[in-house]
Amino acid sequence: MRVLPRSPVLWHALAVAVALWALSTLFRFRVLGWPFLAYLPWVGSALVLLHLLLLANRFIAPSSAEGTIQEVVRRLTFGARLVIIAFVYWAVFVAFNAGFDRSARSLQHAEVVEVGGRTLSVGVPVIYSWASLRIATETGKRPQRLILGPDEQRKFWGGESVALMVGSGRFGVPWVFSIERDEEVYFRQALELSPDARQPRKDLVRFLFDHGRWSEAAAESQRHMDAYPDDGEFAYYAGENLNLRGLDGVPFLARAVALRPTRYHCYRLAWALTRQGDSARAIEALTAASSRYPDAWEFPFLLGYHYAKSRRYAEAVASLERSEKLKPGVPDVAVALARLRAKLNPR
Amino acid sequence: MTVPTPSPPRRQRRLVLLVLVAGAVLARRYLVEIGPGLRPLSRPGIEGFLRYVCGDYTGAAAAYRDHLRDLFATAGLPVDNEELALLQGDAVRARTLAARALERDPRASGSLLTLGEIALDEDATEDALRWIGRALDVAPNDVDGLLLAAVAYTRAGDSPHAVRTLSHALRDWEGERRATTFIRVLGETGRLYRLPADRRPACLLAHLHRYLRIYDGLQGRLAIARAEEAIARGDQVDDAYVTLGVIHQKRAEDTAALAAFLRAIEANPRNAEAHRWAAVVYADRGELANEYRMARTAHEIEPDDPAYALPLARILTQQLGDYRSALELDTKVLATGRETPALLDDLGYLHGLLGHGDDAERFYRRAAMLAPGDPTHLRGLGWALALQNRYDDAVEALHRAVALNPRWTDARYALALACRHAGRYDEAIPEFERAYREEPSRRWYLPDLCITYHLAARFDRARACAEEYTSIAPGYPDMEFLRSFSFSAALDGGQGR
Repeated sequence: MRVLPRSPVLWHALAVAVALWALSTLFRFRVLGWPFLAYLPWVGSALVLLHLLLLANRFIAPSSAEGTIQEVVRRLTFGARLVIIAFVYWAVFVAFNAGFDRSARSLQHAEVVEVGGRTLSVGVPVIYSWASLRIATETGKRPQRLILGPDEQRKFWGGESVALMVGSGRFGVPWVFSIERDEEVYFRQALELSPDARQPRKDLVRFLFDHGRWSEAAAESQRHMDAYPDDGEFAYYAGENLNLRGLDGVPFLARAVALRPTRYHCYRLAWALTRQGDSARAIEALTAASSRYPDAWEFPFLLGYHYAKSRRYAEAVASLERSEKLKPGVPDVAVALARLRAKLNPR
Repeated sequence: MTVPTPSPPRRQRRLVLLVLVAGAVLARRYLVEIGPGLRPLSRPGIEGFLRYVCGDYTGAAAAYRDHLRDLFATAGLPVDNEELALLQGDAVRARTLAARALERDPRASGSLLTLGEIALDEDATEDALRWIGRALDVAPNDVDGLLLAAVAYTRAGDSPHAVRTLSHALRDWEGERRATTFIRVLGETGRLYRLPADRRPACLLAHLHRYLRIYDGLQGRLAIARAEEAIARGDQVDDAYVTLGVIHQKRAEDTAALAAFLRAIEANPRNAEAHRWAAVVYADRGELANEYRMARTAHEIEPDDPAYALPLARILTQQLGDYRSALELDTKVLATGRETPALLDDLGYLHGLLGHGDDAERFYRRAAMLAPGDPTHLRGLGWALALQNRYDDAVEALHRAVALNPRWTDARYALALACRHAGRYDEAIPEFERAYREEPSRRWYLPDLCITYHLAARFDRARACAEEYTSIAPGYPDMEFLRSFSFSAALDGGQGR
């Protein structure tokens, strides 16, 4: 069965389509390590242009008459076929290398030396540029060249600090998953310039949380709270995030509750203490919250839990009875009450 | 050697190809590159477009004007509107209607501008400047007034004033309201091109092309060419550099843009616009220190101009967290009588950040009153009310915000959080669920819903939710704990359960 088209016009159209696909693949899965790869999009663009010209030539002169120009065109077409096949094979390799890469991404810090390339306008705008980087490695700084997609051209500038997420590749060819501005560097710079600036530290804490650097986030949160002890909103934010990630968010949550004892904040503090197994402090916090919010069912419920855990069954029963009065029909409460009453009256 | 003449079919095919390519380029220009105002579908409209593409701006302006006149004539609108009368060439009627309107309200800026336009048509430039000047006294930032003033100054040969007013209009750009304003500017651009090349005010032309670029990206090239000419000739060099920088900035060429703004500052260290634009580029690049330095200098050069105070206040608020200084700046701007919903919103936000809940509420309420269709201010109001622990009121405000824009997930999420804070857990749940459905990326905040299920005593749902979250984001012990939480574990003596 013949897969490739026999018609030269269709063949050129197919060549344009696959060259465009290969180009977009090379932009999507950028290979790191070989500087000459940064020039491949030029090859792709040249191939697209060449096949468009050949297509136009076919349109103007469909007959394959003999002559010097026709001979040149035939040789050019043959050469272009070989290049396009190699180009597409490389794009397929790159796509498989990145698409089937299951390795963990590694973070690499780099500095943009310069952004090169230009915007060509030939009716359809063609935007292609590259960034020369200095990637920080254990042995020093390694120069690299990376192609930039149309959306990225504006993002980077010479002297900018960037962070690259790099995959090691299914076939061992490293590729760039993402390249972003290294925000941390700029937050820290702003803090160096103005150590009392409130927003950069908050942004830094958020950045550290988002990037899984939780103990550093905790340390920076503490610094912020030392500088702004009345920032209750931040105290809650930091405490809740630390608590969710299993770190000690209690001091922050306790501060948030002291500054603004809302019903929800009070519960989250008690919950954090519950997860830590600190029943004594949890009972203390819940008792205070329960008297502040006498209509809230959740405080006596959790209080009952801690009393039960501490084998203070009579107090547990009293708490759960109050909880049931405030929110009747909670199945766990009815079952727990029955079991607690049985423990109090074993007969 | 003689080159063989192409055979007729081949020549025809070449011709067809050429026509196809030219047609495609023209079609692309018509459909994609220029704004709809430049390509009206009518005979004079198409004539205007073709003249415009060929660079005949005077002819294009006349054709577009014909198009507008035909359009209103076809619509059968009665000529009881001064602008329509002017458009239809009935200057007497337009003057009568405008004078009558001014008798009723001497501050009717639209009528003052109509009289200014009539004076321009009659080549009475001094009168035009007087009428337009009066209109600008009433509404100093009115874009139509500023653009017509630029036309009048150009006519009067006062290029520096024309550049200044154009620059002001472009700085506070809000779009024109009068149909004829664009046509007048286009026509004036054409008039300047009819002057001998050495007498053309290059810097002014660069600004006019910068204005036309709003509707046609390709005007950027002409703006750059004229700006470079102006720089070479020493014609308002700092302003020419600013225009050069702005075009580069719009074309995402930040390095070239910044270089141009810095050259403008070098040429004239008191050019506030150059400083403001440099701050914009530094902001894009995340260079906070330079951004702040430039914005502060711009404000110091023009301390009474809100256009320089407000960006500085935003940097202080959003980047540095110096809320007090920002509040001081915004309050000063408000005292100048520039009460806009955006400014009131900023003031509400700053008061809220400083813990002044009641002041925050007051400013947000005022902003919501001035812009009743904008849910942003109601979202802020909800936040200000929550700061005062008035969660039920916050829920009500946020319900109103969501009603105005049901697809605004951020407001819906704020509503869900406010419901939860108010202890109205059963109301919070459907709002959270809808927010995650409409914006799946928010599922990273799924713990909010899991915790709310727990607080609503829907323990099974809470466990399932926590399980789902731990499957997509492992390493969250709090969710693990919620998943395994049960009262019986406490009775059975389970560790931490």
